Amino acid sequence: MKEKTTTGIPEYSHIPPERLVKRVKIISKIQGNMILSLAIIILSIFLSFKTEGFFTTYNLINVLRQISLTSLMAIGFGIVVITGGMDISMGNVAAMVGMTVAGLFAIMKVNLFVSLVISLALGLGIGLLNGAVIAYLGVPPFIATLAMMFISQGITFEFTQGYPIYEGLTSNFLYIGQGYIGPLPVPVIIMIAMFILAHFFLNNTVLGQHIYSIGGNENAARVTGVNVSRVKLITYGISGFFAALTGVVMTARLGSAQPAAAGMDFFLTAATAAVLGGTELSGGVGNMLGILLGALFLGILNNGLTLLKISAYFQWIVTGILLILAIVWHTTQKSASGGKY
Amino acid sequence: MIAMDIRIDIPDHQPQPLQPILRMVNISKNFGAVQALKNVDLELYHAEILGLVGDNAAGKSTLMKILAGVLRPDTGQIFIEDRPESFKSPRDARSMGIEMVYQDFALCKNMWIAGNVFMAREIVREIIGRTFSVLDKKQMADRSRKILEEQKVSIGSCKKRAGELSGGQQQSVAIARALGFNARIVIMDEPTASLGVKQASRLLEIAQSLPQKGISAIYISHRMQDIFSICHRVMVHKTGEKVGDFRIKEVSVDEIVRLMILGKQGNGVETNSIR
Repeated sequence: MKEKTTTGIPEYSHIPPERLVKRVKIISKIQGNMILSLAIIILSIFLSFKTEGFFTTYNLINVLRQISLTSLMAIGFGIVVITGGMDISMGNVAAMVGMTVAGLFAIMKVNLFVSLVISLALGLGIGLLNGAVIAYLGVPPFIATLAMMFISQGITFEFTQGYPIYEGLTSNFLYIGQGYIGPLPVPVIIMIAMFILAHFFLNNTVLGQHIYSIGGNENAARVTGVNVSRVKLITYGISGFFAALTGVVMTARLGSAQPAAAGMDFFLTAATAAVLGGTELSGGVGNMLGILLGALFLGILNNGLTLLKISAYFQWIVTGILLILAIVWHTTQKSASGGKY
Repeated sequence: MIAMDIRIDIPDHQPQPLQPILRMVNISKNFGAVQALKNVDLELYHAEILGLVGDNAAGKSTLMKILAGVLRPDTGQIFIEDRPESFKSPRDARSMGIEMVYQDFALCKNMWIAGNVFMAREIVREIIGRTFSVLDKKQMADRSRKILEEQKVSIGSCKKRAGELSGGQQQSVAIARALGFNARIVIMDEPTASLGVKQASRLLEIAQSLPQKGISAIYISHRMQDIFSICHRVMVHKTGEKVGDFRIKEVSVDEIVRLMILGKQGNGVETNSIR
């Protein structure tokens, strides 16, 4: 006996209500990562039949390499969004750091290790500056990071006059973006390592718990003694660091530092991966496995559409539609479970 | 006007309280042009439940937020067992055994129960000194379950998210967070406001049992029947000022309500100092 109710949820009159509630809870629990995993499997099976060369080791590793850069940015973005924040400067900070590392290493002939440390520290510093403006001066995250987006873009173009740097990037530097460890490209290994690290950090450290608590209920976090401002400061430092890491790996992967390589487009792809992966922009909800799956889904989709010889412009349309569908699905599931998490 | 000299009658079950556990002296607080508190004094004795009543904007919550370390007073001092204390944050107040149960429970519904109970007090295992330590989730879950069981609350798994619980269960988590860590003073801000009848009476039982555990409490409520059933003393606020302080046995609901509405000019009842 099953009939549709006004809420659109089928009613099973023979099932006691408490078990129905349980079912809704189970469905709302599996929705996130499980649905995305299923979508990835179905998409992969479809592409395996429809295209030649999708289901080959070479292509799959290629997909992983393609998603590695967006994933690195999505990790940092995801952590900021879990606090209920926003960092839209990440793309431009990545571009700036990408130019910085090339400038230091290729032009100023600074030692590779020192160049890397300075570049990553620059990203961290910019992130901390964002965090300080947001946490201590009370500027809304969107505005603060929008300002930083313009500032970093301006600095990048002012110093480079829009010219790329490609000479002097020797093989030891390029190894970061183009090398392999075993069968896996170095950027993929960096991505996997960062996902594991970020997952562990969010779930097993006090700071990770506080990041979730601020996103869930900032006031509750504050009144129970969480140092909200400090946690926010560190969180933006983390997103700045991941932007920098993305910029460094990107420069090494492209073999040249391009002032416009990363930017708003690139950042929005990373943000899309995070949102598809179940990260809620209102804060408190999101996890690293979801973000990885979101990035993987986008990667496979773009790879598949390319193999199917569908234009890159059309891929944007598909991405846009999917993003809306993902959010609608998520909202429906949340209201079906009574708005509870 | 008749000035009544009211002396506090210490409840029978408590030990000799030679001095108050808490004294807030001359507390003032402004929000811009609005003076939320004007030179307010408050005393709380060992194992005593003090009711705090007043109309909206009377300054009760502001005073309690100052005590809980959420707000800082413009003037005035707080003494805990006669030692001056200055709370820069809720963490400072909690470390002195001052806990607050908020009307909206102040829970992070996206987080697991134990995470809420132990919020800002997480149990960690040190891996490499204090700088690198990881959460001891098992111990947090076990101890949360134990604290909740002491309250006779069964919630099932402590791994559930707080948002999955009913209103009453959520409040149990909020109370567990307040009582589970050697609290000395518990502030309850309108704790029954969002509860059903059965849950509200259970909450009153919990509040009433605090003195037996040696805990003092400040109970804010609009419900006079609650105040008169569990409090030993009641303090009345009106537009940021203390307008009355009575032993509960020596005052009537009418007198309190009149003071809440009319202030010191209420019915001839004068503000009383209990020293």
